[in-house]
Amino acid sequence: MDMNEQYVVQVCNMLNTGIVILDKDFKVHYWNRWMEIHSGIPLGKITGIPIFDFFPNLNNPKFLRNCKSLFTFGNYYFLSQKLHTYIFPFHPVSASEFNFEFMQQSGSMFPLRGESGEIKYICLAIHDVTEMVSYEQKLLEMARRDILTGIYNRRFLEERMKEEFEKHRRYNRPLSLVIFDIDHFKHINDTCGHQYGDYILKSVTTAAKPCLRTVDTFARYGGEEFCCILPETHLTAALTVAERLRNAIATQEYFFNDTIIRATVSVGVSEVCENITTPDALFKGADDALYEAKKTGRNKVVSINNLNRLS
Amino acid sequence: MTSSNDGVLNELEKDALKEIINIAFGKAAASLADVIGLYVILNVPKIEILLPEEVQRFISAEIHESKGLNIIEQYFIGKIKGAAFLVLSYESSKQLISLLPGEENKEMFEFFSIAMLEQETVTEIGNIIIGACVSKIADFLKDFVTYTPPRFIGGKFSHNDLPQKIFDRESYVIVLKTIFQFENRDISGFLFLVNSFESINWLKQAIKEYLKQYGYE
Repeated sequence: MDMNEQYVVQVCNMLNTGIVILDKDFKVHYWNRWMEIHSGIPLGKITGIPIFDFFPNLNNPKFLRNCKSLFTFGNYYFLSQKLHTYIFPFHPVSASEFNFEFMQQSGSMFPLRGESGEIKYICLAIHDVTEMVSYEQKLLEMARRDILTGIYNRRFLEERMKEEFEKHRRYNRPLSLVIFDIDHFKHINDTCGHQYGDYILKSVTTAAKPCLRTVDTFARYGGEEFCCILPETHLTAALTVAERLRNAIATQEYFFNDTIIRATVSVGVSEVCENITTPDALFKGADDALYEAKKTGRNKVVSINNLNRLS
Repeated sequence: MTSSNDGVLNELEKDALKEIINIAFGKAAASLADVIGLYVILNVPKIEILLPEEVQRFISAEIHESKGLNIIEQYFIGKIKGAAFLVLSYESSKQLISLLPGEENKEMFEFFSIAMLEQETVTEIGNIIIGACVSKIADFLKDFVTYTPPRFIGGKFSHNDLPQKIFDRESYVIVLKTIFQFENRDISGFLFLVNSFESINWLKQAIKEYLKQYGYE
């Protein structure tokens, strides 16, 4: 191919892709206009300078490992946005539109060979994928959230349960589950109307949230039933959380036609143990305890252990 | 397997090819230790000459299990051309990830499931392992190859079709099956290199050169 270099440079500068060429010492040999625009660093200022001087974030084991692999094996390397979120910390093009501190990027790296086939440089090609990631996150959010209460839905709960179980199995860490259900919810719906029922569901969620940690997964399981996965938590600590939840919800005041009414919940708690070794068994344990709480008076917490003693 | 393809490589050539691959893999292991800081033992490969449509059945049969596997696929193109399939058990993948520096703090990624991130990391490592093995064979043939991006193809080997751009349907493929193992670790997996028939001339040439030193002409 007889391609005049000046055309190649023009192509590079017109691409809506960042092009960076590094030598074996990670010094910048070339970068295109896209890189100039988004970094604010002109080619003349960075040529011959190690990339880490300007972008210390790249000086990490992963990037070094992959560069080394490229120089040694000449393979192709894909930088996934999901793993890296960004390669160069640039501002998003339309910062107001997207809720990201940095432009989301994916990229690829490949070797550039000299005439005798030896690898002289590595080339990075960077793509702005902020818009796509933003849509992806919105869609994921929609797929995970319960539309009424804004907390997670059952689908996400079950997904997360599998992951937490996996962690428990791998590291042998404790894991507990709390299930609670609003007492006499059908009655509330029937006497005050469904809109009021919705208000109660939202208010109960708001009251429960401060009782939980960020690592806990709080989800609406269905109807008026809620679940909290408590990782790294033994049954005793889970019972404390459950009691706190019950109390927070019971003491909250709910207004209906200028009158204050109360709502209570019944709570069941279980923990992974010898007899409970699957997510299903953990759910069943907490659900059985919840049923026991309903049967024995409501507005109370019952643990799987109490249940064992009863049976 | 079948007798019809025995003529492609005779026993002597097969043995020589095994030795060549072993030498190449020895170098690959040394380079891998340098790149990822882990020493890999690559065992003597099993060599099979198959028809393209037999590859799927062969690989499925060789790995014995169909559940809990991570498979990374990558094509390579040079004088030798073909496809690489790296097969790791689910457990081995996880252990491998935990050994790599810079792979901790996975919990901080709230948004994507951990499984998805593990998949991306396994693909990255697969890319390096495949690159090491293929490039060292290419070195031996005084060749260099280019690669397609690695692709995670999930838990089950289910390739009915190898790409026609690389594989001629009418002719044989040379399948190298290698078991690899990380030294002092309970991590192992399989690497299948499926070479197109076009590669055979280069391989034969390399074998011939290699055998010369033992007085075979």
